[in-house]
Amino acid sequence: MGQNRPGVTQVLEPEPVFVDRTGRRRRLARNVGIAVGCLLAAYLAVVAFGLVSGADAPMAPWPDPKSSHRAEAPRHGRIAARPDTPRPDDRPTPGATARSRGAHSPGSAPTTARSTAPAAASSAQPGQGHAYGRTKSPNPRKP
Amino acid sequence: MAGRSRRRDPRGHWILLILCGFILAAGLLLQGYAHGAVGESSRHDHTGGGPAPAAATHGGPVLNLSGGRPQSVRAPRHTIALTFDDGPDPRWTPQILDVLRRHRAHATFFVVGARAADHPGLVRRALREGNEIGSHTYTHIDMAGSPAWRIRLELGLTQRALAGAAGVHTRLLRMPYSSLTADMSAPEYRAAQEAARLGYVLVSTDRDTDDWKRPGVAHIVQAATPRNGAGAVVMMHDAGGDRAQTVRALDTLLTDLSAKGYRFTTLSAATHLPAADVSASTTAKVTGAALVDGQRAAGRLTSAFAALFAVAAALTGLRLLALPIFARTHVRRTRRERRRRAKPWLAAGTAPPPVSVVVPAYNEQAGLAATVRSLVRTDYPAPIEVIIVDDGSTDDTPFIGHRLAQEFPHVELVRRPNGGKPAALNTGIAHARYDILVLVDGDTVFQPDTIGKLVGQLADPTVGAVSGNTKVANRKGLIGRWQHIEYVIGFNLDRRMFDVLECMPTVPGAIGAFRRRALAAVGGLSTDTLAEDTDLTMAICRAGWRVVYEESAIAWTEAPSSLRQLWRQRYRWCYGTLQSMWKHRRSLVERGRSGRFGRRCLPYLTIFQVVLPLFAPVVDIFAGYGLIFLDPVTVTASWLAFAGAQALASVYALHLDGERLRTLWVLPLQQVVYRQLMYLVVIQSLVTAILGARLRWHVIRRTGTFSEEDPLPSQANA
Repeated sequence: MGQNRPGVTQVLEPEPVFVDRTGRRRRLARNVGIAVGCLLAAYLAVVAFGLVSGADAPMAPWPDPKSSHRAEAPRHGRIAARPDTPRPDDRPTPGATARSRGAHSPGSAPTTARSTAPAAASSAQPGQGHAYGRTKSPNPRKP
Repeated sequence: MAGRSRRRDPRGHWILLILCGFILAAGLLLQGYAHGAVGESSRHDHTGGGPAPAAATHGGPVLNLSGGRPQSVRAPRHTIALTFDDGPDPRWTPQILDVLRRHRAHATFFVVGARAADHPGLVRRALREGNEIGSHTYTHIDMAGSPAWRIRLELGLTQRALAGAAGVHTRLLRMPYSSLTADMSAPEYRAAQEAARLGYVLVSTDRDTDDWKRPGVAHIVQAATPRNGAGAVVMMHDAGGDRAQTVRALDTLLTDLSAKGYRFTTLSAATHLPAADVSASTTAKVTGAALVDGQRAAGRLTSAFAALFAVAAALTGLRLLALPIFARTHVRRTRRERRRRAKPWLAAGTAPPPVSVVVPAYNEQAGLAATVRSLVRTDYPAPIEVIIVDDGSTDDTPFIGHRLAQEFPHVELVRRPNGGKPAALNTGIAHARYDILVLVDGDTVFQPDTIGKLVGQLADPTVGAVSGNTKVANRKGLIGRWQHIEYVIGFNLDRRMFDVLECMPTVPGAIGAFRRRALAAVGGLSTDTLAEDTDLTMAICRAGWRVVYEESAIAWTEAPSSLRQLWRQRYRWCYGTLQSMWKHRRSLVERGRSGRFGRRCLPYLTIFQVVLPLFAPVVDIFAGYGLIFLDPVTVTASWLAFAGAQALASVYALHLDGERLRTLWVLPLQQVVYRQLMYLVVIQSLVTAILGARLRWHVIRRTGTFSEEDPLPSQANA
């Protein structure tokens, strides 16, 4: 603005309303703005990642048909343990529960080289037959 | 860097605001999508597609379709797997959990993901008390009628919500609108296969209680009770309506069947499957929490906006109602005083006083000659002098001014180095000989009777300043017409109200008459603000003078003709008004006339020129939300109601000014560009104020609307 030019009569007048000669307010507001902007962008990135990456059901071993017939009689050991020993104890091995990304056709797991079916069968439910489902994880070792 | 960048208009906030607007829109989208969720209703009938393969329909209610052939299991004898669909619900789910806990029973809750995100605490409580969580899709969709991508999206979102709400993923899915395994249709089977491909175990039911139809407690209990000690997967609902019957039936069922040796447990425990809920990964928990928190925040925002929306609508409606009433009052008063107004000085017992007209001119070569010629052509009976103040113009302004001073005896040219409009006006006022001063912009043309009408109001000794009626001369194109209508409304409705309420915030720089004593009392014009006219008027009002409006004193002005120039002009006005309001904020708490002015004027300006425009972008986004997710008829109707009220007010304003109503066709179009421009200006001005940035003087580029009236040779040569 003209009145701040040197040599003009208004040069000694006070600063106009709102004007902050030091620039402190501007720097502060800019830093706050950048911080808020980064937070918002990060939040958007997280949500976008969540939507894009999808979430799969953890695969579960399936009880053997024979054992499910046997299951007509309640198995007290397992059931009694249930309320007190929460889910993680029941969980099949990491390989079997791998949340996974790849897309394999149904039933392909047992024949897939990367399959962890044997691990699932041998660990979580001993003697309870074959693994149901298949891992879609490109890296079965990934928890 | 500091010197140069400080003079640039702030821009960075737009990125931030676009980001905020995007997140708001996304949040509303999610919110609208999530709350489109309904509960159980009349079944979606897919039997037309034929039945599912017998291998699936003849098995148990817990179905594994991931292998080559369908496999299924049932609940063993004397075992009941209670399942509750559609929850969690803040009212009924806690009651059901209470009943379960009292009986030391467990159940499986097939939750609607959107509701789990809304009530994460209920999901956590259900798990903590030993129950199991399954998926019931995110918004209770009819999976059999949905494409594969929608199924994947709904199931994925639900897993996200569960991970965010309780840190778990689930392997169980019950398809909404499903019932007995035997009733499964071919389309449902195909949807089930799609879910199985994603890794889900499908759960239907042996005993569908139909409790959502509220058939009575006894009926629900009877429908849930298996025969001869058989096991069962029992389907009930803990949300989607009044579930009091379900709660009571559950209590009865648990009491009766426990006595018969029944066990009530989760699905996976009943069928010896591994637990359905497994701990989610940290990544899943983080993204899930982002979704859950986002949806809940959006929910709260939506309710807050709805309330704000109502307040804004009420305020806008009140204003549209009040403006014509005040205008009518003003019109009546004017009519009553018509006789006195025709010869004001005679009525006051004095002669018309001589008048000094001050024309500040910075690069006004296009319009200055027309302005000055219109001034000297006045029919005002007393002497006038015209003082052109050349504010260090870099164009032909001083030359034109010099020619005019030579041509007319009462025209004087004063030159000074560039110092801004307030300084130029102060110089002009200092040079003026008379005690009545008319301040005119260098782009404005008066009618012959304008000075007489304007100055007539000063016959009343309590009046310190008079505002005239500015009209847009260049009404070509949309922008010209928009401004024309805006000026007509502003001068015929707003200004009449300010006059009646005695709280005039602005005597426009284009046309105003002042008493020298009033100008002297406030120390002339100040350079504190960019809207020196508003600042001056507020100061005069606070000094105890009356400031009035004379609608018959007409000045024709040249309005900005491009969006860019309009932006600059409004930016300066808005920022300057903010500065003036801030400068005169003390008037809010002062006594006497100053306080009365402040308490009437400042809240009005704050609400209608700052807060409502700031809220307007949200209104736009929210209107879009309403059109998509709420009732489009209601939204359109309320919009039409407001547009109609605005149109009526405009009709009245145009009628008062004797303008043609034909121009009104541009009014609906104002909603799409002009309105947005106006609220963006407010945002930009507020940000500039907060940052304390220094602005360069915004000058409108004159195209010279009035130049063709001016045969001055200098124009032809220029």
